[in-house]
Amino acid sequence: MESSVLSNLLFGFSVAVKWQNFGMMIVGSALGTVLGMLPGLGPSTGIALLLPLTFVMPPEMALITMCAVYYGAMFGGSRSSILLNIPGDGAAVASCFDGYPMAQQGRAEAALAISAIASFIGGLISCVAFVAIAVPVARFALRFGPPEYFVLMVFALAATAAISKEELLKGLISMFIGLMLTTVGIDLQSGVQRFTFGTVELQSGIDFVVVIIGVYGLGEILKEYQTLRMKGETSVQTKFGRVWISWEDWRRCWLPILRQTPIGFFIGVLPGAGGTIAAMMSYNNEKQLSKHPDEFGKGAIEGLAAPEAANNACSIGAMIPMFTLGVPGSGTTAVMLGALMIYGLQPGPLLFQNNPEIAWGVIASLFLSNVICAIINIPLAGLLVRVLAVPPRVLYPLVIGMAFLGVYTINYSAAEFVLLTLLGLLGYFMKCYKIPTAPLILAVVVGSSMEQTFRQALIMSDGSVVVFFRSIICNVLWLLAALSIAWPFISDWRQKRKAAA
Amino acid sequence: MRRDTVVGLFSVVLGGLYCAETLQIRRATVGNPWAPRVFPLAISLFLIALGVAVLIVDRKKAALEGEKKGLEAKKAKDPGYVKLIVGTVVLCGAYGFAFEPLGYLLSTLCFMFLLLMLVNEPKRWISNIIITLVFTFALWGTFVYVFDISLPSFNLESLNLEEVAGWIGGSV
Repeated sequence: MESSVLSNLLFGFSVAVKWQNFGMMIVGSALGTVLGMLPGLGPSTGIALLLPLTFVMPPEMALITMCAVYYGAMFGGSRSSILLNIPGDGAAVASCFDGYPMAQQGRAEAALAISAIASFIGGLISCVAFVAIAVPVARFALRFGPPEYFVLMVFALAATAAISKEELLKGLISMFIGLMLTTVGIDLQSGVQRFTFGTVELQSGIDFVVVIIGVYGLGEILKEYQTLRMKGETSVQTKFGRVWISWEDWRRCWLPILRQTPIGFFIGVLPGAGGTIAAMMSYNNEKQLSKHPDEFGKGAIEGLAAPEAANNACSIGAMIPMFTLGVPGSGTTAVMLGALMIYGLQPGPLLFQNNPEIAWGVIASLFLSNVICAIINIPLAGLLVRVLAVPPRVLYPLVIGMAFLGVYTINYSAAEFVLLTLLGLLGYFMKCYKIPTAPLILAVVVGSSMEQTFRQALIMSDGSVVVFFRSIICNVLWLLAALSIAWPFISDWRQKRKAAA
Repeated sequence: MRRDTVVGLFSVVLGGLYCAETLQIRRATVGNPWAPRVFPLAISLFLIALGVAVLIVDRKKAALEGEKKGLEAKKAKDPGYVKLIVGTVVLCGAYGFAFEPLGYLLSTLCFMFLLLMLVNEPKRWISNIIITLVFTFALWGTFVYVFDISLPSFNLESLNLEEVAGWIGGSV
């Protein structure tokens, strides 16, 4: 690692340990852990709901808080998987497979401890990898012009939309709806009004925070209403012995943690793949590599450790494209990228040059948040899981109230309340009809810059589309975009061939 | 109707409406006059094409499945969920109109109490009142004193009475 990187990292630590930033890191980690635990409220919704509250903070503190919330949510997601067999978010699904059987066998303490330990180690290794990779990637990204950026965004969106063969078309529809929403308002290049229907409130466009809170937050709650009264009262274990693991548990887990962390990190760097895929892939990998695969699904501790490490590694990896290229790789990083833009910061390679206190402060905060989350999630596990006993019929109205107040703070106007409600209905419709929402969110965040870079590139070339194939970077990115669309079909074909053989 | 048929039709109709609206966009007076239309037009065409593709794939699937109904496993649902959704949407809309004229405290107290009565059921009215009071005043304190954000106070002047009268068909 270069000495300049180390000195920058030290500078980052000096920013992160300022008492205000450190205090918000603790608050963010605790809030994130709680939000991550609550089924239906994943990190994306959590950050979106808390985002308006960070508007009063300086940018580095706001970003540090959001990263801490994201990180805390990744730690917390597994708590409800282990204790209730209900994952806090998609990435914690794999933690149910062995975490819940462990709790059923009276080993909840070991399950809670190993999930936090694995998350901690996975996160820590990934933070080091982040520091090593971020600067070279950012330097490379300085070669990007408008055509390269446009194609990069096409790739990011295509990869997110094409998660599976079944959902490919619907993922693309979701993406185009998101792009459609970004075209509302006054066109930045020509000053022409588009899709405002004579409404003054729509002239400045639809704020992405409103879309995220509406589609993720309100939409999710409306969907949860379908089964609200059928869930009954939640009974959750709140009394624990010592939350820790035995030497034998550690002996079984250390290698799975170390070998699944790089996989999770790599999946995180790829746009679109996300924590769910990282956790599921690492679980399946570990099952194949294990000496006793028959124990998986029945409370094998390494079956919990592997996805937890991969999941946290993935969340760090996902920040690389966001910070270095200015392109989000997941719904949550899309929210954070949007937050950077709200502060008037230019995400991407120049962030490291123009705002080192933010870039390096946030990177250093990842190391510290990792430690804070481990402290919160191991000794305080018994206290925090009491939140799971709050019934959803009380929780959901409170979240709705928070969502509206959050939206008010964006423009200090209640005009967007109606828009928020309509977007909530759109989110509900999408969830009911199994249209993935992540591509919409990504498109809403990058849509405006995508159109601007598209038009800038065309101005550069006097309207010739050849400009989008002008460099090796463009062509490689087109190839990757095509490959991500084709991949679900290739993978399906390979599986069928394997089954036939 | 099958789930994907709805999605396909939704995409085609949305794309069509968006396309029609795109063609109404004024020409730019600077640069290429058609520039503001290009990106939206491409989006609308993709939406229509994807909608048609979903419909074709769905028809093929339906033919394979022999149009059997109930093939998609349906999750058991709360029979009263429609009431919850409609009630929440109506309350959210009303909150939007009442927030600025009635002020934060009055509108939020009413909104939260009614929402809790709807979702948490009227039989828990005591806890609903307590939660409403704690939530409303705790957030008010946090916003006003911690974040230094001013929230609207009661202001009947900002309520456009003529507009309200228009909605209810009366006159002021």
